[in-house]
Amino acid sequence: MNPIGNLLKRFKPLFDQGGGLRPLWPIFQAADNFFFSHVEEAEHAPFGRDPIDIKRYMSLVIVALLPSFLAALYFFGPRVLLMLAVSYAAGGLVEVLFALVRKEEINEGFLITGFIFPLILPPGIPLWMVAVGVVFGVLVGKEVFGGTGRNLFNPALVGRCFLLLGYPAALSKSWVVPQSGDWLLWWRALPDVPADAVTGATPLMLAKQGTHTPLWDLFIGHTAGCIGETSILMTLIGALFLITMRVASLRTILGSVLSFLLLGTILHWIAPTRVNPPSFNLLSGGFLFGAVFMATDPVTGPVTGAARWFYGVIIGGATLLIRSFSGYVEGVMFAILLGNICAPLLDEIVIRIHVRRYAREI
Amino acid sequence: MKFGRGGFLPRVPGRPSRHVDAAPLPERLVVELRRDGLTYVPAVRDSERVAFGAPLAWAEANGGRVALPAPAAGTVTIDSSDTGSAGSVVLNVTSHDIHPLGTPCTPERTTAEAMRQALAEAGIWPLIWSSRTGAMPALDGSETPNRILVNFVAAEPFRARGKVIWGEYGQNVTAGLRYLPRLLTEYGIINLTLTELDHPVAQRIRQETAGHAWIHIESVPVRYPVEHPRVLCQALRQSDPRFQREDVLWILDVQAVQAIGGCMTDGIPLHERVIAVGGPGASNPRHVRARIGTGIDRLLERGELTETKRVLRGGLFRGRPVDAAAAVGYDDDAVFVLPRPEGREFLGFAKPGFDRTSFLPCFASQLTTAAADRRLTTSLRGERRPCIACGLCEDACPMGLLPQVLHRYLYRDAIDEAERTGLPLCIGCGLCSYVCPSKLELRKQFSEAQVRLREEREQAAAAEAAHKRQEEAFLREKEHSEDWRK
Repeated sequence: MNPIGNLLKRFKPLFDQGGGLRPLWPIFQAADNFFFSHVEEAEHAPFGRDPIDIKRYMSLVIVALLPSFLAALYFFGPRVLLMLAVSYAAGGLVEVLFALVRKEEINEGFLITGFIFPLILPPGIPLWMVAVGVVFGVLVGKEVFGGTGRNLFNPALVGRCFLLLGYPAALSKSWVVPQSGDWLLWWRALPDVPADAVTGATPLMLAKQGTHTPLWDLFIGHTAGCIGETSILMTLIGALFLITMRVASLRTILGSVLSFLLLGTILHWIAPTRVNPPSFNLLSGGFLFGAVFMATDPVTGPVTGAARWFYGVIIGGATLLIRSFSGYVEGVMFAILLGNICAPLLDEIVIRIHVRRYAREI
Repeated sequence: MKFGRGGFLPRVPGRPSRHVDAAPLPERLVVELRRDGLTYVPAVRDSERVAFGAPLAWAEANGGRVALPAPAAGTVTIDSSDTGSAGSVVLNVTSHDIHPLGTPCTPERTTAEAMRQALAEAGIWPLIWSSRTGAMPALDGSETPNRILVNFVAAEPFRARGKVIWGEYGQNVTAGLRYLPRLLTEYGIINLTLTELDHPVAQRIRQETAGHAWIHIESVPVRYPVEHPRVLCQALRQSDPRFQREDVLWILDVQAVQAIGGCMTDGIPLHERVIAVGGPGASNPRHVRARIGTGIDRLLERGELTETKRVLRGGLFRGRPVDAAAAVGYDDDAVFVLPRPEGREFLGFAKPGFDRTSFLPCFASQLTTAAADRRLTTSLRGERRPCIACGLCEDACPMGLLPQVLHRYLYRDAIDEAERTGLPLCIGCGLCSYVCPSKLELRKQFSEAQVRLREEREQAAAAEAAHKRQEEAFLREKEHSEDWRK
């Protein structure tokens, strides 16, 4: 047994039935289950099971997010780590409180929500807003529905939506020019970003004014924007990982990207002044990040495989329309929430088609 | 043949070798009185002496009687002490001899009725699956199949393989294939399903059956549960337009054909089975030829039936755990040995996973072709969680069902919706439970719901019948009183 095992063993009696810290049992159990595999024998056939479990499933998503996170660290400095810590601490508190009250186990799903949330925020946002947003997202986006697996909306997006509506100024003005060179300056500026790095506009905002950022900068991520979404290269690496592991639904990703490109090409041809060229549109803003990491959240998307195509199409189309024809410069957040709303309907349509086939066979 | 999406073949260590051992005949054989959901009534008394092949018990089924023939000559003890089961007949073996029972007939001179009779008495009839009844075919001659499908493939880890049976009893199998057409309608077709058509065994089968125009050889993918009769039936329907909906299909495996060959040419009843003994816990994975009634512990190496291992009767997906007292039954063909989990693994989910294989390509074992799921135990290998709708069960389901949707319906007790959404089509292959990362007991949930549906339907039918009777009685009384008034 390794040291962690010994430690857990030593403290176990405190959390056991009759122990002084019994009410905090879910916390102990979460730690125990994190470090050591859960052993429970199958009581029904099949008596052997596949090694895939939720922990592995969720940790693969975290691994896929790592390239984007590292890029964020590189471009936006150590403050990113602070934001991540705040997000995990505040959101984790809500998660733990609910687990304690419900006397249920702490779910792995939060690890992803807490990781994604800072990645979809502007780098200069006050830290307390990160906390408020993640608390709102986890509470209203997930826990009130009954926890992971039962929520209708992506919790991270609910939190971000709340911040955007509650603090529109902070959310649309906290942009930062990616740092280059002087790391010490960024360290000294903690817990804020260096004052001279603050800027007013992202590539999509600039495009509305008529200046298009070079595509290479967009691809590498050397632009202002939300922390994790700027580097398309890193997003693509994550996407490739998720698709080869078959953790993310290829249908959702393809559906959204293809519909986004197709509709973008057609509308750009019709109204070139309002709609950006499809290449620029695809590489700028958070569309790809959203399509790869947030639209593919299985819980809030459609349940059936075939419906995921249409779910993707709704997200791709809605993002483009919101970006091009509304007051918002970025549309992917609303588009995914809209997709979340439509998901049960899409499922119902697919199920009805299946029912018709079953009726013939039964 | 055309197969839809779904199905899966896990890479499990402990595949039985082609070698077939003969298990020694024990002094005591135990014949269970329940087989295929039928309870048999003993045809012998306590301490009666029976000859080889004499009926030990009978059951009435589908317009006829089927027997459990004695696997050896001996003295009978009837054991009904076990209240949970139907009891069993214990045979204290007096002679090892196997001898023919009746006078054999050439295929040309055999009638379908005589063949049905012979197979029912030899205990072989229940090995045939009929698409009309969903179980053994009717014995009264009311159904004649347009097709018979002989399946050589066993994808579930690990069932006795057709090629091994062919290697061991090739002659009997070809003899059986010569008799099968007697059961078919005129111009009926026999389909043989194999994995690779250019395999030496397949070529030999082709040579042996050359000139028999009614025998068609087809290839099927090795993907569990391709051997399930309903999957085969569906695949045949989809790939062969000549096979109509109302046509009757019978399906049997190679061991059944071998038994038919033995029964019809030599008059030998079903008395032994070839059992695949395999699995990660099996120390010597191989095939074993065993007399029916032999204790399962005798098929295993010493020390395998211990607390640290779980022995399943059947394969990995559908096998049920057995204890030391269990014996080889008339339809057994597999024993799967699974180790029990030893201890908890440190940060197991974060390891690359060269030693585990999965339905999802998310372990490093994907990089090598030789990798097997060496960590397979009876453990669930994860915590139970709510459904996250990952859709793996939908990808794995061989019947094209939506297990995640059915689970949602049954979770909120909407059994009627589940029925409309294809619940009766579930074949219980267990793949959805196997692949589920949330470790939901989908197979159990679905089979329980199917039982409930059946009960509800029977109750409804009974209630309707009672209502009808009441109405008739009322009408009769009314007529009677009107008569009286006149």
